[in-house]
Amino acid sequence: MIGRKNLLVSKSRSVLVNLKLKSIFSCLFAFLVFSAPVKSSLEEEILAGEQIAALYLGSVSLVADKELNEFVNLLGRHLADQTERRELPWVFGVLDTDSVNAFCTPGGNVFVTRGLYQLLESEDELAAVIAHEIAHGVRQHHWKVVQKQKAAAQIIAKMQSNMSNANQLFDQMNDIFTDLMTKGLDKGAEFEADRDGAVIAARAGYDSSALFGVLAKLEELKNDEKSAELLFQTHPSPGERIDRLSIAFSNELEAAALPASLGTPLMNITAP
Amino acid sequence: MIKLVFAVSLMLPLCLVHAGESLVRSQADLLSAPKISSAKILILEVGVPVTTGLRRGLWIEVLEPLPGWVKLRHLRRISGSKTSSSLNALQSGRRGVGNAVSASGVRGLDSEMIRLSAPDYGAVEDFKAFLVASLDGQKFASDRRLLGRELAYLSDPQSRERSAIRNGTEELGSDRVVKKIKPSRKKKVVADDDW
Repeated sequence: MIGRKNLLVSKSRSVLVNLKLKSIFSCLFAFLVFSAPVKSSLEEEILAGEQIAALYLGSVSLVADKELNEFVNLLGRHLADQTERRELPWVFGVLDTDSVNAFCTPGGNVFVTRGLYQLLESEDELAAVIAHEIAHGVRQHHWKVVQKQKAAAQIIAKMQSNMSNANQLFDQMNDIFTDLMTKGLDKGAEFEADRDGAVIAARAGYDSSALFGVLAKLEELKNDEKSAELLFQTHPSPGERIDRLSIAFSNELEAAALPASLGTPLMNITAP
Repeated sequence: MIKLVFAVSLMLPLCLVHAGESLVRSQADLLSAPKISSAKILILEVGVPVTTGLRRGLWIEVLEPLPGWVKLRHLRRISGSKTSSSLNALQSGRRGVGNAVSASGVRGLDSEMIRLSAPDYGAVEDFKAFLVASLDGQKFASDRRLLGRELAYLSDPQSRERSAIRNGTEELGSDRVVKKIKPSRKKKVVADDDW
């Protein structure tokens, strides 16, 4: 009985914390939208990224393996340091889902799913996946889409008619983010992230060609395979990506390619 | 003799680990080595099934119908082919090597779930706690003896092609100009795969 009471108290506390955080996020986001009408600031991008991260983490949690998430963060940080956006608070995590996918939000939050992680054969392949996502963040692909949709302008218009409800603003932003998460970017942005990702991985000392290995594995997955549904919905076909990346590859980058057999073995997932 | 049989039996699983089935996606030259200048063994026609071995950069080893090397882009892996650790995967239901133990019964992540999900801000705070400093990343790289390289980003081949058409040349990479074309007709020239 006491245990149940404690559980109820703990649950209501967690709800209160969540509500408190939501209010803080809402007010801060509303403030940023109003205070930066001309140009999006870095803070605005980071905040939007955290909101999208909250949506991902509201769908699935991180793999309960601290060591794995720490490892992914060290690797990811080293990759991010090879780019022009080192100043972003890059954070990386493995999502506990069978789905095969990886995501980047504005502001430097990167997720790899357990399903994709388990498909990979080496640290070089993981670096290729994370570098691709970092490239999206560096080029601000998602953030630019949000801006293009003139989300802020629409929200301002809405807010002017109902200034008191900050949560309404928040819900509308969530709709825009959700749309972006489920529809993905245009093909050009994905091809660009493939090219940049291969360079970022090679700059960091990893196999420049490891992404080919990953794409070949993705090509094996059937289009109608449930685990890869969202991936195929939001990305060009792996075959097309292999083609485009092959054509773009420079001689210098090919010189940074390593035989797949020399790849560093990947850390196992040891979550309970 | 026994030693030889034992050695072969040890090597057999290694061979199986890397064997894979693919189909030829676009006509390709099967070469004797992973180099464009190496001897041509035969032309692989579209749709021909091949057994593949190790990948080496942009190249993949072909074991059958004849041993040789081909550019990875010319092949399409067949679903369910024997890729690395696939024998174990068949037993465990999992693939890859990062799969010793994992949580089970976790739902997949699809559009519908994202649409229906409520943001979890507490989880974001926990997630952000994993942030590491650049110094930690540098130490990680140094422990792994990762050697950094200076490399420029790649340009988009399509925009290169467009600009080449404007200039009257078809460029492939920064170091080669392969074909002159007539700018007035703006005809697209298909690039020859020369890597």
